[in-house]
Amino acid sequence: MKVDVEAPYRTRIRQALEDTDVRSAVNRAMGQLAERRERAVGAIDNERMRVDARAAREGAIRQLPNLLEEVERTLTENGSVVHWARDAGEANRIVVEIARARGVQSAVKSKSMVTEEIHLNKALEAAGIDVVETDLGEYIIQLADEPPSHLVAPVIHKRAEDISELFQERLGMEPSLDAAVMCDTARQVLRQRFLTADMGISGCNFAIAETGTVCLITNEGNGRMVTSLPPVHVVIAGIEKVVATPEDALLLWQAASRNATGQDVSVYFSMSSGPRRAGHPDGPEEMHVILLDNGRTRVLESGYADALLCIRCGACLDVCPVYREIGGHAYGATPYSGPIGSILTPLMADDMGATKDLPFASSLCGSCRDACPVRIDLPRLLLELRSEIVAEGQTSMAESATVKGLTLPMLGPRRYRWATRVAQRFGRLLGAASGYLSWLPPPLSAWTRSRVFPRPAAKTFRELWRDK
Amino acid sequence: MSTVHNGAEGAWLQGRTEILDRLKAALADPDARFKVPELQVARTMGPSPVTDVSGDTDLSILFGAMLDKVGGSHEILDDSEAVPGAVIRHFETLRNARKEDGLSFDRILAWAPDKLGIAGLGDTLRQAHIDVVVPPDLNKVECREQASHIAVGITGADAAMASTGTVVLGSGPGRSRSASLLPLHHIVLVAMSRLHATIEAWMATLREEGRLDEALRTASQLSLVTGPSKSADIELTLTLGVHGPRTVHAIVYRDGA
Repeated sequence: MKVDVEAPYRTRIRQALEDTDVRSAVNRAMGQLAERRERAVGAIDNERMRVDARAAREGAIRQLPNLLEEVERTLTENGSVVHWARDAGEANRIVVEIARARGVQSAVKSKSMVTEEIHLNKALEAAGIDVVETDLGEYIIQLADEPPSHLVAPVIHKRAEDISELFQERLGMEPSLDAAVMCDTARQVLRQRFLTADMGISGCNFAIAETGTVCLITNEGNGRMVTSLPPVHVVIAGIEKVVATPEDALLLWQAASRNATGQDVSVYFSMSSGPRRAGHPDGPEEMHVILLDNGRTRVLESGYADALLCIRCGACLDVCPVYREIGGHAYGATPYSGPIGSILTPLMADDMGATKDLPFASSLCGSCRDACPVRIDLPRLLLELRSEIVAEGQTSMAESATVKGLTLPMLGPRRYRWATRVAQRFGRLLGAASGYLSWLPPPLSAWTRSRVFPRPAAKTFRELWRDK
Repeated sequence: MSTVHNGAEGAWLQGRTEILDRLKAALADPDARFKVPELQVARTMGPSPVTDVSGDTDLSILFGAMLDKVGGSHEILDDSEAVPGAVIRHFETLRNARKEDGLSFDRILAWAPDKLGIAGLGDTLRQAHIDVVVPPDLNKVECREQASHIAVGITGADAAMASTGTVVLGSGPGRSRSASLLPLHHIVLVAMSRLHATIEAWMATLREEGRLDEALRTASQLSLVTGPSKSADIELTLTLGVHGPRTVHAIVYRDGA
């Protein structure tokens, strides 16, 4: 059964857990990605790279308004047109206006999470513009009409059989399970689109303030095609993507490559500084850069600037025991899944609403914190966000009662002593053989319906200390 | 671009002001915006090199080994005069291994001869019945149509980094982006004098020589290319030549410097 990304949180999790095909595909793939990543960061002084990468990103966020003004100036000097968009609606309107002004009928897109975030394809289609994804994975999910399930490997939830069937049905491919044959089919179809598109659309991995340069990381080469062949290139860049210098961008490129795919560097790193100049044989005649807020300022104002350091490498997804079991679609209708998505999605939303459950989709094991190339303390952020959501009463009564029940004994030594003794007797009464209780009587059953509860120790810490 | 902003100019300015004002207000006390701030003092130096290369390493050999590792191939020549012969040999190897895929092997999509930096290369290729196509304007339909059927492309390299096997290709007059992008096979000529140990060493050289702006900004696009085009989107199975070239062959040659 497929996961319905629009369904409520508990339904999505249940659907994801019931889909054993996807679970085993995702689990296997994540294991492989984590292994590749492990090898790539093991080959270098990873701690030094993490400290440098952190400094580059934190330095940029701390002086974000200055860097944005600088990059606006340098981009303009290079001949690009800069636009500002407060939200998804404004960004989509700007792209459609540019398209109309140039009489654009067809557009090619390179892989970009930010365009998924603002649902740009829908806006373009509504304006009668034919838009095609050109990253192989994104192209597959566009054909299947599904959202991406992983920041880096969007189609990781699909098996070769599924993709082959899709290509046979939609592209008339001869039956084959050979990835090379499927790739070649896509190459032929998409090459024609590249050569004839009126507009290229991309995201932005880094925007360099010093030189007015938009950087794109790709392996397939679609990024180079999209930024080189169509006469108009439109970039959509989250305002947090700006970095100070080319050195910072090149460092973060290496950090992203090692952590995303286990490569030393990605095959292509395209650094675009404006449209083609007079006498250049190719390149776009026009380049537009849309600087998009869409909730990022809100993340900063809420005191979660740490989350804006993210470079979208996906390492926290690959090592996450929860992501491995439930996959990206269980996180709902958001391109940002896994630990970082559970923080960004609710914080960026106008109204947390249904996304308030996401920070609870974590066991706080800490693997993500240890993996993150820009040293984001993800468990800490998840925990803070949980406590804010509980404090605002945005969670179920039973859950907040449990959290409160666990907090009260911490408020004084006598209360603590009393509570541990009660827990001790209670534990004996339930007599769990393993270290966990999978059932508690009501009203605590609300907790154990979806989690286990650790069995209270036979002796309290104080008793152990006294007996020594 | 006034046509683009028509009617939306007011909203555009308003958006810009609102975003910047909110950011400035929030960042008046940046420490308060982070749960776990780490940056005590601003960093004064650039980042350290990610990859280590010891002083006595032969950069040509390291570059070649790293390029091979990511699925490319290479040869190292002691003399630039040997380059035209090597290009023709590699071209013929590719032609002999060709499949019936509608691509033409009687031409090569190239940078202008003076940008390739090898004297007599164009003449030698023509004598071997390989037509050298230097596209004047690929935004013209017929020029693009012709270029898109050429199987092999050849370019020089502005720089190359040994520790990653990366070549740097800047776009400009006589230096098309397409020559290293549209064909199924890419031959890249790398002068030894343009080899750097690491990406960071290359940047340091550009800064020292005051060429950073020229290298990045006048090129309009600087492409860092490390091996052939690849994808692992289908069950993490590695496939080459998804959109860009399926093979990348570097000819590293000793030049005057």
